[in-house]
Amino acid sequence: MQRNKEAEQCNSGAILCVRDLHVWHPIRKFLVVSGYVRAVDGVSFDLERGKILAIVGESGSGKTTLGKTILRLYKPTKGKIIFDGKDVTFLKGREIRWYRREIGYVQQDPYGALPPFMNVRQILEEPLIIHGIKKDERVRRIREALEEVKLIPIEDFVGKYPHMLSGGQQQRVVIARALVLKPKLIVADEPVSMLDASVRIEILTLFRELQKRHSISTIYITHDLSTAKYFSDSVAVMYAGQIVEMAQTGSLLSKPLHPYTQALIRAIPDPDPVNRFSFKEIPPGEPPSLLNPPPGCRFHPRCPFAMDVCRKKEPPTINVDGHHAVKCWLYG
Amino acid sequence: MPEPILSVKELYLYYKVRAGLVRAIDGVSFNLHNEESLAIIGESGSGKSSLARALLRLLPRNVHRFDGSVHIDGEDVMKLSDKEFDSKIKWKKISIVPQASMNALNPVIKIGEQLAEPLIIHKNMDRKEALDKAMEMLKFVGIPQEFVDRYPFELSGGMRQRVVIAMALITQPSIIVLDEPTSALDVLTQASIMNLLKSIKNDRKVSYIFITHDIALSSELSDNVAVMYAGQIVEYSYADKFYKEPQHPYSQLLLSSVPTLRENKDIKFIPGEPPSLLNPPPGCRFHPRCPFAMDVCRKKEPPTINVGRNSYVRCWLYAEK
Repeated sequence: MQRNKEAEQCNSGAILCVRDLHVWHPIRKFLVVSGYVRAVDGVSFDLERGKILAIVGESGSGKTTLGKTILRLYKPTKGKIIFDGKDVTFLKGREIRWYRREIGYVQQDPYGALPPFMNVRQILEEPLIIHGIKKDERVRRIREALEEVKLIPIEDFVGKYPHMLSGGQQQRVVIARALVLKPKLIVADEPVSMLDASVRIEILTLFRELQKRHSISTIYITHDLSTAKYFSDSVAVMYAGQIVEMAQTGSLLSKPLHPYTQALIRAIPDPDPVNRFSFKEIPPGEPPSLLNPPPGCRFHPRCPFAMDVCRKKEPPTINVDGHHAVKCWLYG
Repeated sequence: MPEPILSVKELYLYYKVRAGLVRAIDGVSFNLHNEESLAIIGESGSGKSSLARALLRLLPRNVHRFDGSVHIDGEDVMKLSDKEFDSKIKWKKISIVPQASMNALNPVIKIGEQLAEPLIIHKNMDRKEALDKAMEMLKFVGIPQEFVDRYPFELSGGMRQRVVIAMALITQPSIIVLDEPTSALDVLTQASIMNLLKSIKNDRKVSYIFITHDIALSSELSDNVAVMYAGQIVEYSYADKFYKEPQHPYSQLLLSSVPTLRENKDIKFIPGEPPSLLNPPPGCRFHPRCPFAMDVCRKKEPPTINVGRNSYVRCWLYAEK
């Protein structure tokens, strides 16, 4: 009964609904909690089935914490995570194992994500063993996964240890491991930030291909708006633990509404020789402490358009022409 | 054309490792003129950081071969002993902002003291004078003067990077090597550091060697561009030409792999991986990945060919038939 009610709140086309999610990490001094780092502070969004949502933000914006909480590697403080119509916010025990089978994780640093003492076959087999898949099926799935990430001929790779592979190949193994359980949702946290420019595009192209073929819904966490442009359907911009703007990728980039998003876009260069003569307008200061964020809008101390209300009241999330959401008083 | 402030000819730097010789820099030549910025771009392992270290002689112990000619201000510094180089050239004429150096500040020394140290050592200033100078320099790079008494942990990443830039600047060198000066920083911080580097270039009349793997960012600070691949410069060109009409197939592919925010284009990747510097392929080092590879590319190393004013390319496609 309860399940139905939650399912109703959630869009029927959505695989994942996050509602008012808070993740506060307690700071302890001599066992007494002296404060909280509000890494994620009231985040809501829907991820449509088979789509890629990019979560873009700077370091400390809470994007990785959000990703890890969706994976249920962190426990939410408050709010709801609804996956495929089921509330997974506080799952435990056997049920979390079911959830973990439905979701995959692609980490940032491929070398750190792969155990150095296991070869490629062992790395890919481990999740299959944990989830009780029979030997024949395991062999078949490993072969399939390696072929999909184009580590072929697979005989050349199954026996190799991570240090014997290049960065690009390691990231392919990480992707293969995420795919081997045939998940419905993948959280990819900066999957290419450690790779070189040309390899980066190769891995993202491969990933997008697989994502389309199996229609895997994806959360792509990145600091890089320009790759988000090419590899996502919609973008959510995070600042100081909150989503400040969310829209279809095209409309967010062509018509950014939030002053922070506008500054981000201004700051990112395209390769153009005229850049060397231009100075960029950058908001002064730095992102606020998440221990003690400023009252009102969290961007107001740096915002060129800050008004009185911005200093006092937190802005609501405002829907501008249908599908463009922005958390800013300028549109209130 | 006036004399270049830095002129590098046929520079080689090989490291000896258990598996053999790593040819990190394999015959690199270029000129840098006064008040000019040269961006050196390349993927990891192309030898660009080795080049930075070679110019400053910050070399590891396992160097097998280090020769060629490096003229700074007309003087062949390769002829100097390490001691002479340290006392006459390093910091005074050429300084460096090393990669990730913002995280290498000494955590137990106040930033003012750290900043004053090179002045005391290299310019024989007394402590008081050096500290005054440090304070002035902090202000110049946009850090409030009272920060002179703070420790590195009290500063944000962007501010620490400003301190490191101030350090490279304080001995008033004419050339500053910037080795990935913003690689660990956020987008907005990166943009403000680039603003700072541009205004330093305008105010202090310095020349930069700007080493980066980020092709879009390189255009922020490059009058000329050198593309490195497997230890060699495969293209050298001026900015207006390079970003519009790259000549070498590698440069063309590299630029087409850059995702752009404003322009809508198809992005492509370069198939294959860069070669091992232990055992680079014969002929042109890019031939295994090159869509235009011909027979000659597999056999003979291409010469450096002049393709118009101030631009050179190392590719058989441009050789006269």
